[in-house]
Amino acid sequence: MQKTAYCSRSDLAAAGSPVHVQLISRNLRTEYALRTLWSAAFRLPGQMLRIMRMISFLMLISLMHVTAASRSQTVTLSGKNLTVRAIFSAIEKQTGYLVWGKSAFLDSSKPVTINVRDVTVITLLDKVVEDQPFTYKIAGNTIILSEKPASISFNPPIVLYQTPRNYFPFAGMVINAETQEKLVSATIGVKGAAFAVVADQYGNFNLGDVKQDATLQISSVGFQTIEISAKTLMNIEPNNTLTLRAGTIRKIPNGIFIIALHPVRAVLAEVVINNGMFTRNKESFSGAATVFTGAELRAVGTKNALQSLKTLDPSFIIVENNLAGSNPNRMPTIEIRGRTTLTNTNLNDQFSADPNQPLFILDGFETTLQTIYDLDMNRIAKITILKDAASTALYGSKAANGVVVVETKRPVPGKMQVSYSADFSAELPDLSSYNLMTAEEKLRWEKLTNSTLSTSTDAWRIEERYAARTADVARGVNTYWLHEPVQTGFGQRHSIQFNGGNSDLVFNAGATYTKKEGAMKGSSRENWGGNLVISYRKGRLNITENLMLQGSKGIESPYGNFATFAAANPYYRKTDENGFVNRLLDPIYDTTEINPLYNASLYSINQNKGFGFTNNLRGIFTLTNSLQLEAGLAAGKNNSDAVVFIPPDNTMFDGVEANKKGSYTSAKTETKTVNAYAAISYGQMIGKGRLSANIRGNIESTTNEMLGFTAVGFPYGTNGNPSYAYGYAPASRPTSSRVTSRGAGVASSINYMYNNRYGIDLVYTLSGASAFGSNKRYKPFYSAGASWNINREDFFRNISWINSLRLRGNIGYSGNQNLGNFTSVSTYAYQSTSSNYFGQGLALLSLGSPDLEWSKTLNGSYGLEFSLLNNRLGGSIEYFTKLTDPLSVPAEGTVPSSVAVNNSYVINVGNLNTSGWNLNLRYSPIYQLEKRIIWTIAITATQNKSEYNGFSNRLSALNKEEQESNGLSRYYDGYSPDDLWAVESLGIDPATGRELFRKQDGTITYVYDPADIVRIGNLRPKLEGVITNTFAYRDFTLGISARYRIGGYVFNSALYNKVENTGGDISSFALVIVRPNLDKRALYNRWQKPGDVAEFTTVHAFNASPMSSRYVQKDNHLIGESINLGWRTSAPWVRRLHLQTIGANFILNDIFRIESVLTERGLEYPFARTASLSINLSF
Amino acid sequence: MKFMNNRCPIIILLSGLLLLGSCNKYLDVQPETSYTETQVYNNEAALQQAFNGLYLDLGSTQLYGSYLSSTMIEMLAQRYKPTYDMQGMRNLSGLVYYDYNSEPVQHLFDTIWRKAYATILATNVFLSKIDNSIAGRVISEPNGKLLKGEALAIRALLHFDMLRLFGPVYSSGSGNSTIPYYSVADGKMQPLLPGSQVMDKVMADLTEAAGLLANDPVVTQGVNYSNDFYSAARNQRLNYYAVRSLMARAYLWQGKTTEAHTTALSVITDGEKWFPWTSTDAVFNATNPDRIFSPEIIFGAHNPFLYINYDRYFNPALSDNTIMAPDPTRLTEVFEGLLQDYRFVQTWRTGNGKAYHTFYKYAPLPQRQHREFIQPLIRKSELYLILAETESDPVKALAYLNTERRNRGLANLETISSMDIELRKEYQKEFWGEGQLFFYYKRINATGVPSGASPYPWATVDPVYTVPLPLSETTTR
Repeated sequence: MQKTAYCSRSDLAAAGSPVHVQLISRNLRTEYALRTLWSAAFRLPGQMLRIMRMISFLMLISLMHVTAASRSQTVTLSGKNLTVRAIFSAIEKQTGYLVWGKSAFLDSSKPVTINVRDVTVITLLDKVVEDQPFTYKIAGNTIILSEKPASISFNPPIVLYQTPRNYFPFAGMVINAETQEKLVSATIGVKGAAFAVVADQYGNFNLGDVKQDATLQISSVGFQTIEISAKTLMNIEPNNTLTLRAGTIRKIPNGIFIIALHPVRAVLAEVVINNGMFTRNKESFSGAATVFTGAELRAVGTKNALQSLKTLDPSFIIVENNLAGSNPNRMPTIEIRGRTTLTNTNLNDQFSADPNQPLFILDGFETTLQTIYDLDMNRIAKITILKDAASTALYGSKAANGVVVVETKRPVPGKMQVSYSADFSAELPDLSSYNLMTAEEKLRWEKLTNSTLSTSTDAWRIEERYAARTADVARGVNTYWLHEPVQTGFGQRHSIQFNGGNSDLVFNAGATYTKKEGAMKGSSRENWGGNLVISYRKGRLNITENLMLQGSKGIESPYGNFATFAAANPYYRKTDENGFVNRLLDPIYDTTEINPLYNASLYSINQNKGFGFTNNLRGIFTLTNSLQLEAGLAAGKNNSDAVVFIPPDNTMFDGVEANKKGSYTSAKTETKTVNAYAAISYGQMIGKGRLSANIRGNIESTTNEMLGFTAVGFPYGTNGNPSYAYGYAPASRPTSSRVTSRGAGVASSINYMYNNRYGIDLVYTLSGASAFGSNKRYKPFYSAGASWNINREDFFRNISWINSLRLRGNIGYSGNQNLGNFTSVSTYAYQSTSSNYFGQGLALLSLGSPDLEWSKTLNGSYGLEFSLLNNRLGGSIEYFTKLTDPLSVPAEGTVPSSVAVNNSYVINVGNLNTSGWNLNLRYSPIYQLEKRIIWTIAITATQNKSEYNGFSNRLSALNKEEQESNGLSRYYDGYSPDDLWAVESLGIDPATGRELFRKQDGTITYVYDPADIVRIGNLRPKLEGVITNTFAYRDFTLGISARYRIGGYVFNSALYNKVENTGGDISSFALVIVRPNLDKRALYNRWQKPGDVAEFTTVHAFNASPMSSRYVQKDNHLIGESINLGWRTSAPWVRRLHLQTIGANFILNDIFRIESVLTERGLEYPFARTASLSINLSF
Repeated sequence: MKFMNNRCPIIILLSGLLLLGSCNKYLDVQPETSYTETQVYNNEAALQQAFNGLYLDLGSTQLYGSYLSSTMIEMLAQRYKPTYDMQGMRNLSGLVYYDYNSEPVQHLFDTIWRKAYATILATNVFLSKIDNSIAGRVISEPNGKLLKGEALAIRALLHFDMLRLFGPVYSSGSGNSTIPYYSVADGKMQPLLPGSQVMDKVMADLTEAAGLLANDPVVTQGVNYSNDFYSAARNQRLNYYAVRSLMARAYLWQGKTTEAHTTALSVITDGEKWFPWTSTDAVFNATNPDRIFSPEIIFGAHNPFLYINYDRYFNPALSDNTIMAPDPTRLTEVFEGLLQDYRFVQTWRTGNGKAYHTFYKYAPLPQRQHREFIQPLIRKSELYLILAETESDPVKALAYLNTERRNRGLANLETISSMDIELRKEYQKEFWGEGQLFFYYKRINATGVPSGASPYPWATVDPVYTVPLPLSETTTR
């Protein structure tokens, strides 16, 4: 067949008939696409057989599976132009052999004319397969058909090579020299001619006949370009390999060339950008996107993918939550490239996401932060972070904050592979930021400050109490309460993945289980999940089915708020002399002081269980090499069930009627999503340029339902079963809501790359959402970008130390619909628990705002990427701007309260302009690839700033509100949302111990006046980034990543609450006021007597110290974010263990923190240091 | 192949565009836990409920359910001793001492202000839609006019009371900029108007309301408790007489005594038959005493939280520093020692742990009654007092006063030294827990008002009548 094909082809070649090109490329495709798979099969025939049987059974491919009655070993057969199928059928019938193989073989087989009598099966088969694209092997009584290995020598294709000609045919396959993967869309052309072809999706190409004197160019984005004369190619002997700098060329006996290209540089190994809708070649893509493989993410940390992204990408920021600390059940707050909206008030209903949160896409469909947080890291193939308009405009109204595209591992054909990984981790509470007084110190402080209270009529009692405390302290009572609620939390994760299949049907199945204990006793998070991906390819159709199940159970610590323990005084004993945890710390003198351990010792429930599944089905139909149709449908459902039971003996019910003590709160939510899309992709070479275009339409619907109630009045000692409750909470009713939001849109993009040098990207999206209000159902979004591969210019080619240099930029609009459902018409709802003689009534929920403009963000993004000195120095510099104009601000607080509009009424006011830059730089001082010794230093840095404008004075009420609540933010034109505002302090007057302030006019005063409030600093660090050192030595890798933040300001709450302002409200009813435990500085660093040069106000003052610049401090710090030691081998001894690879990773996260500010961190839940060990085995 | 190559995208594009068209409907999601105005005003039952929502707002705690009737406004009138609000232990003494800068007091007036204008906004939305609903035959024209008239009256009532509370003493100058008057629901700020202009608008709204309510069922049927939304329980709606009474009150506020007199007299002449004096039997009923003199109530707001508020402010079970109760001496002084007064006997009681008298007017009734949960806001006796005040003939004036006194179990006064003094006494006795006393003091710009904080009979205070506008209003102007 092939011979014939070549013959006829060469005969007709001059005419350049395209028909033959098609023919050949199809044969080649079959051959190469399957070679890897089937050659593997022969190494382990027995195992392969079993697996093949299983696969065949599973996937319902039935070939000629006939149980034979007779057992004769010889065959008799005759016929003209018999189909192979008929021949095999006869063999099975006559001999009892089973024939296994791919049906594609039969389809591509050639009819055979046969006339044999009583020949052995082998003889017959040898004859049959002679001209076929497959060969056979006999194992037991099974005949296994496999692709003819390329190394099997053919009769030399005499016709092609014996006649010297001016032309010769050039066809073959382009592969990646390092990974041996096919290179899709490599360009093969003749230098100087306006003609080139692109390798198809299997890496195959056929250029047709080329002149002997032509110079051929084989290039692919991200790979080195081979330039070679046709003559040289012609002269390669079959089975020989020609090694060039840029790669290798091997001619196989049938005259086909296998061209292996070396990647341009390591960084560009991941050249494909997946924006969740389409894939883009990185070198032709004008957008800012970073891609991280699953292995990279796992090397940095095993907590979750988001934590690892933080370390790897400088623009991906996890906003540190000082209250929630390292609580495993708290979702992180994420920002990409700064904020786009105001979040002064809670605009959202309970289901909508943080309006500054990026959009998450999992395998092509939108998903939630929670899903990504809980996703098994071992399943992640790669994560792409899209930051600018070139990609986010595609997502229209959802992507103002960037997009995080997560792809899970796709099944790959091959024998069944099993990989198992186990992670073991330990969370070690980090209490080092606390600087609390000891019992003796606290008592000393009380003595020092209580003297002012001795005029009280109860002075004798205060004295008596003090004496008792002193006696206790003298006996050695000094409780370190912070230790009580914390633990070393252990965690483990087990994950197993199965992967296998033939090229028709591949599958991937896996299961994972995680249990992690938090740093607080009793707090934990448990996850389990299962996934199954089946991909079926038949001809031009490829169908992938992906089912994912996820379950979780989060339990909050019964110890509750960590702050309670930080506030507990060290001069109390934890337990009484018999070891019992008593309700009161001191029943004699301090009858209001509750033992913080008491409530924790009671039975309580605080948990949230979740379960969800997602089913994605997608089909790809390849119409032609340049046109592809794709459609997908995703359906998912998530349930969560939160239960909080507080027992009746909890001290919060002190003084409550018996039938209202104890409470049980249940909240159930259900989220259902359906999402469908259809897309067309088009790609074609046009002259020297490559055009690709995509259009995609999608519709989606999300329904959120919630139902909740609170029951009260439990008998003592119950297990929290709500049926024991006395009744519902008084004047309460069940809470319920049901919100449906829908969207529909069309996204289109065009990309044109000319000569691998100049690229343009255009995106236009029309996005419709039910949230937009009935007047403006659709909004358009668009972007345009350009890129220039400078190193491909002629004048750069000769500069050998520049490996790649690329400039790109784009600008476009994206929107933000997370701001909530605001309608253009007024809405009503029933008034809660209220009715009169005429029944219930409707209340005006929100006033319609028909003129509302939706917030749009204009994103600009410009970058330079380079790779120099033989790829040892590489990096990128990016600059970006984000202008959100107009901002959508809830009207409340911006207009007089008599206008009576609430937060659902949004007005357009002002704008927010964010700009900044990112830097990625990497250098390898040691770069010995062949010895596998590489040392790389990488530095990332980011800086951004935001500025409000156009408010004039419309938000003055918000400013007033901030002032009244002692807030540090203000909304003024020309200032940043992250600016911190306070009166400038000049320190403490040594004569009086009072604070001195600077007035606006520069004069000095003791009097705090809000009119003197000025901008003190900015919360954002001037510079933030990660410094990473990676050292690879053979099978070992050592990575150290440290995050630095320089020049940001923080509000030091410990100073404000625990060093000063310790007086509190004296007008309390209690006899003796017991102050919570304080920072040591309240004792040592406050002013005590005239002449003291002190940092803090007089220790004798009870009046509150107002918010001044003393509490806003410059914060520089260095965090040991990740230290990891990895080892991975597939040495021969591993194979002897029937394994393919063994890997182990030891990782330390957040292990140290050096900072210039002494403040308490982890107020309601402590932060933790994490140590983990992960082990990966693949079979 | 060629066909597919060239035309396929176009076909799919076209069908995509078609799809987009039909998507409009797909995207039109009606929220399930809320209703759009289109849904509400195209359905009579929903329209009625939107309208009824306005009355529920009036009866809410922040307005006439508590703050503007029985609690906060009464604190301003020196009714009770300084106290803490049980919820959140907010210190309410600032009300007694007119410390309008204290945080709890500022907060209180802010909530009152916001709720009043939120209700005005809802009323304005209703008024902007009702004409279309009438034209669209969603509601019959007579019924529609009835509701529209009542809504206009609600708007006038709220603005009037905001002016009475936050405006200046009217007689001493109606002020340059007092409060804004909102007649349109467009989310736009309205200017602060001089008090006289506010009153012009109040009167205009009331006049229009009275015109629309000319065929009010109350005129022919009085008060009944049927199930008809339009004719039942008219005393719980701003009915024709209520609107006219409100006009009399408003005229008097402006010092227009003649108009006040004529209007009050017309209500008594036409409507008294429907609002008879409360019988002694009803007042002294052993199980269910009528402590609010319900038949005389021309307009009262139905307050579903009446008992909850009772528990919060007046229940004798409350501690001494959280209960709203007058000093015993002061209470006796108000009732001039005449403890047979109907307004004392059933309303004030000792016991349940309190040695002093506590306020029982709004205590839970043992049996369900039609009058249950009614917060009296306009009562017939006020008209008599207006008549007595505005009548130029002293004999006739005294007769009006005596009619009122007689029906409270007091003897007729034969001669009086000063009608003003007698009126002031009656205002002090008649409107306990109804919020009118402070406005009475403010109207006559009274000084030397008996102090609620001090137990000594001679202790007086000069109230600070002008409550500053909330900061939420002024800082954004």
